[in-house]
Amino acid sequence: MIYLLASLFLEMGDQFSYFRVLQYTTVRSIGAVITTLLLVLVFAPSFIRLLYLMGQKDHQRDFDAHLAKSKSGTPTMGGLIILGSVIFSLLLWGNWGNSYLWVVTSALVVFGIIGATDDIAKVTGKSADSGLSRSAKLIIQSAYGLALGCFLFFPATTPFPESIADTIGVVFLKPEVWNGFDVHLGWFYIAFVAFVVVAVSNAVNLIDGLDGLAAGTAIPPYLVYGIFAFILGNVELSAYLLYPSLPGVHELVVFIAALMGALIGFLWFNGYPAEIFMGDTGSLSLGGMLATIVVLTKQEMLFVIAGGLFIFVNATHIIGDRIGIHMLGRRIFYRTPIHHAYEHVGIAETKVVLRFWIVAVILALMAVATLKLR
Amino acid sequence: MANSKKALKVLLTGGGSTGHISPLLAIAEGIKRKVPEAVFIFAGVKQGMEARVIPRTGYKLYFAPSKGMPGIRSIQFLFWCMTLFLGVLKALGILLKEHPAIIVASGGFASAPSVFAAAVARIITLGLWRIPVYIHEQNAVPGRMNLAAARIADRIGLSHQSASAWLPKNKSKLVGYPVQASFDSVDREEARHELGLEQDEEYLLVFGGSQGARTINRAIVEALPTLAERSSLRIIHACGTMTGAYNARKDTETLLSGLSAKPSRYELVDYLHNLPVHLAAADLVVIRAGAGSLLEVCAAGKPAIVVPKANLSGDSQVANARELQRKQAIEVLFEEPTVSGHTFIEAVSGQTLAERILFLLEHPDQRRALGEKAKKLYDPNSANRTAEDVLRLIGFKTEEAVEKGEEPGPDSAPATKPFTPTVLRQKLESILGIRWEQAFAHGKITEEEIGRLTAMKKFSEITQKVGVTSFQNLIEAQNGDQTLLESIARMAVEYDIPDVGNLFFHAAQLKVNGVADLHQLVDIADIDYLRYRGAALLVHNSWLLRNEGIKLLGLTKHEGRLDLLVNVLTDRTPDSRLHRLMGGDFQQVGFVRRNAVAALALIGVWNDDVRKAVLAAIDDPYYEVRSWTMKLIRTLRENELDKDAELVEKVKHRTGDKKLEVRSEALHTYGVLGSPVDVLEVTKPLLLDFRPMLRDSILRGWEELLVRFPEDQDAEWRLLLQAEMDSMLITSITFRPHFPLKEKYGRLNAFLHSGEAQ
Repeated sequence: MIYLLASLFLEMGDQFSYFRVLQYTTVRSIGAVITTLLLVLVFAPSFIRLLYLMGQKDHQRDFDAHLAKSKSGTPTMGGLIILGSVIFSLLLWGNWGNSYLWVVTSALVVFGIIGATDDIAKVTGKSADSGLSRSAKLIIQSAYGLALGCFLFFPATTPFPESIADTIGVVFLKPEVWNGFDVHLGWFYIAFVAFVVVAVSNAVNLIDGLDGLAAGTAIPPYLVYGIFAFILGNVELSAYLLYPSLPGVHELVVFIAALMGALIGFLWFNGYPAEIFMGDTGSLSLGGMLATIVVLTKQEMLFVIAGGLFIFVNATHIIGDRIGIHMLGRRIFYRTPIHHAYEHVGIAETKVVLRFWIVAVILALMAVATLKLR
Repeated sequence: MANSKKALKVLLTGGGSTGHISPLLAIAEGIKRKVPEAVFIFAGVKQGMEARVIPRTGYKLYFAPSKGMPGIRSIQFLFWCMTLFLGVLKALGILLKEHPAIIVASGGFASAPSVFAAAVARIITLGLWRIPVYIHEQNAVPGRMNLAAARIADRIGLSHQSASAWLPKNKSKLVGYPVQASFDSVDREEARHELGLEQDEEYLLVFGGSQGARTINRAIVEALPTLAERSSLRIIHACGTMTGAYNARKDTETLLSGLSAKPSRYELVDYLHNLPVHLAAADLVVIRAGAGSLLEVCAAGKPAIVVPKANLSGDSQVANARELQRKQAIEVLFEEPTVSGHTFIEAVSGQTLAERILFLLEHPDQRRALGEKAKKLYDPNSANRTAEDVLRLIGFKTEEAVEKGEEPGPDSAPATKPFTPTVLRQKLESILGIRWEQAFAHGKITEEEIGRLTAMKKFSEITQKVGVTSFQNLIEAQNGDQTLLESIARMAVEYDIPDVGNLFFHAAQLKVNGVADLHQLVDIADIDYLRYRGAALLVHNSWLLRNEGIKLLGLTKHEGRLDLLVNVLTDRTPDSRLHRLMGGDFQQVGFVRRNAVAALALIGVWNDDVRKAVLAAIDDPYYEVRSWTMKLIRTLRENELDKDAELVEKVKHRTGDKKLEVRSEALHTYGVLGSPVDVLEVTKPLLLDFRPMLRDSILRGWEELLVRFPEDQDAEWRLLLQAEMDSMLITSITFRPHFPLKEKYGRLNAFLHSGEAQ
């Protein structure tokens, strides 16, 4: 809205030229951060009360009785306030003429709805096991992934420059080195996008298990992709760093900024001991949005580093839970998702969360370092 | 179409075993009685019993290929899809050629092609060509085929009301199990004459169904030497046509050739074509508890020894048999798992079977009583009722129905699904107040806790006697009906239940726990059944169900079958190669072995067998088995385990285990077993260990020492202990959350409800 107003004023004449400032990505990003942060900080307490009155209380599986028992009953579905404030802030600060913004907002809405349905089912079923079935979630996620893949692949709709629409980003290698090998995926690109969406969104969903863990560990990778979006959207910077330029992708910076503000505000209340959980509404949509941003910035390979923590948690969960518990009938790790294993051997929850944050930050720094290490 | 001059043509489909064929034949008889000009055709599979049975009836027989559905993940599934596709095509051809007015299906994979072909025909012609489909469900728990076909079916006839819990209510109607009239009508003397039996001969018919039953075949062969003593006994043994992993004929013949003595008048056959005649001639029958076989025996009014097959879905044969057993219409021998080689198979001991047979032969009055009670349970009208229901579907109204003014239409009394083993176990847990995960914290189950189950069972009997069926009724009665309450109280004295109020409290609890009807208590609170079920589950292929079996054995404190638990812990049959590649080890997977350890703790018995199992479990390759065994040793400590040098040595060895969890449990347990000096020697190098879990266990072990030797005030080891404590690292990186607000809330809540709980 502010972007629109600013362009209106600019058209009216030179005396309004200082409104140009309001069109800068940086200024709008700062505005978006402040808006969401304030929104969440101000409205969260009454929102928590509202959730409580609506009966949106958490029901946990008892991994270790003394750990979980005392947390049952905490209001969940706090993801709603994150998503709500982001949308409000984007309505203010976003440039809605940009198709990147529309795509990532679609992810927010779709994954937010899946998550909310799941949360409500869990609450009405009074158990952590009675949410949407795994396969139902997978089907919706892959459907969204395929739709996104098609949107990005076909020349009529793709926001990418046509020549590179079906390529993927490669880490550590300069374009001169890999240009010789054609990495155009062709039709496979659609399937690849679907795979990335399903894998990334589930990975983030899984890490949501301790107070402040999901929100805190999601911030560094989002920041990394914010930096990349800023660079790739800027013709000069991307040329200097030998990246293909993606005009318009810098609008994602505003989106990420709004999300960062909301997440920090959410952490204020979600830090140990949590007053509110984000629920699947939060964790699924955090994953879905991150997956979409990964695809939109064409930095899929980079996620292996930036999102290394998520991949670690996911891989151990697949090995420990799917293969170990369900197939072999034995535990391979003490507990999965793996953060519960650290608790099991006697490390306090707060310490596990803090250490995961540290690892996330280190991985993010490594990911940023790949900008020059090519 | 109604009352058209053209002859009514009915396609019967179903098969595989006679269990699916004979109800169809009975329905056909019923239809024929009402519409004599009706024509029947039969569609089945080539490999099924219909290929042998149907030609004798004179009905035209068609084959459409079909197979039982394999697991969705197996490669076989693809072949199955192709077979079914071909089958449906073939069945479409049959439908086009014959134009039946209605399809009557009895379930089983053999009926799949025709039923699905009818559905395909509807879809392709957009509903213009619509052959009505009638399904008859014989079991209390519908099979997969009938569940799938229920969507297509226009009407479903049920043999048991409980099946309606799975099927669409607006289509289902209870019609009973149609039995062919011949089972009821053959005269005994004529039958004996036809079979060439002599006047004083006693005829024992052994019949495990058309496919055959391994348990019955093996048990009867084992019983033959004992039965040989009775010279007047004639035995006809139909071993079944099953081939494959278990080849009924071959296996039986091999066993027979190994016998030293067998009765002279023993005859082995595959299959009996004129079962009604044989049944009519028999003096005693040994059969499976399939719904059909039982009703046929009832129709014939014969005394029977029934061996129900364990572990069917919903435990249906066992449920059938128990129901008739309660009415004293049959004798039941339950299958129990026995160790064969390394794994379990279900079996009945031949000796027991022989004793039951001889006892009943000696006591004709008892046989007569059984036969008469069985005959009372036979409903001769079910075939007619089903036939009527079928005819209604295509608009044929029989005169009787018009006279009675009966309105066609389904009836749907409420029904509840039988409990799966998991649910059964959960309800049991809630009655006992034990959660499996906390089995060790609870320790041994006391006799009083088991007594609670017995009281519950008596309670359910009482309430049924006074006519209360639902918890809702009971709770309403509690609030108003004084006479009802008095009669319950009076009966409670009679049944020797000390505290009736307690029972009401438990009833309210169960209602909260989702038990809908009081009659469900019959399963939940019947400890003998629970023990039987737990043991029977151990022969199951799926480890998930074996796991539930182990839990049931533990929670019911089944001291009688400790051998099963010991075998699970010592069995070293390898898992499949694929699983081993991924890190599995034995067929009794880690969780099963681990839970067997917990079951031993709940049972709380220490003997040589258990000791053998514990020694094996301490060295188990799976770490949770080792660490849970350490806990088990602590719960069994009263049995002077510290005197067992081998055990103590093994526990000491485990304090150096490579897995942290095991090591820490072993350190604690060693404090229970080892001598103070030894314990302090083991703990000394670990005082500065960085892992808090280890140091925590060291402290727990020391605590045990101080409790064990309270008199050693001035002993030297105390000084050593003091020295070690002084040099121990006591920084902690763990803590338990402590929420003062929630604790006060919980205290207040308990205080508020304490009145209710008593």
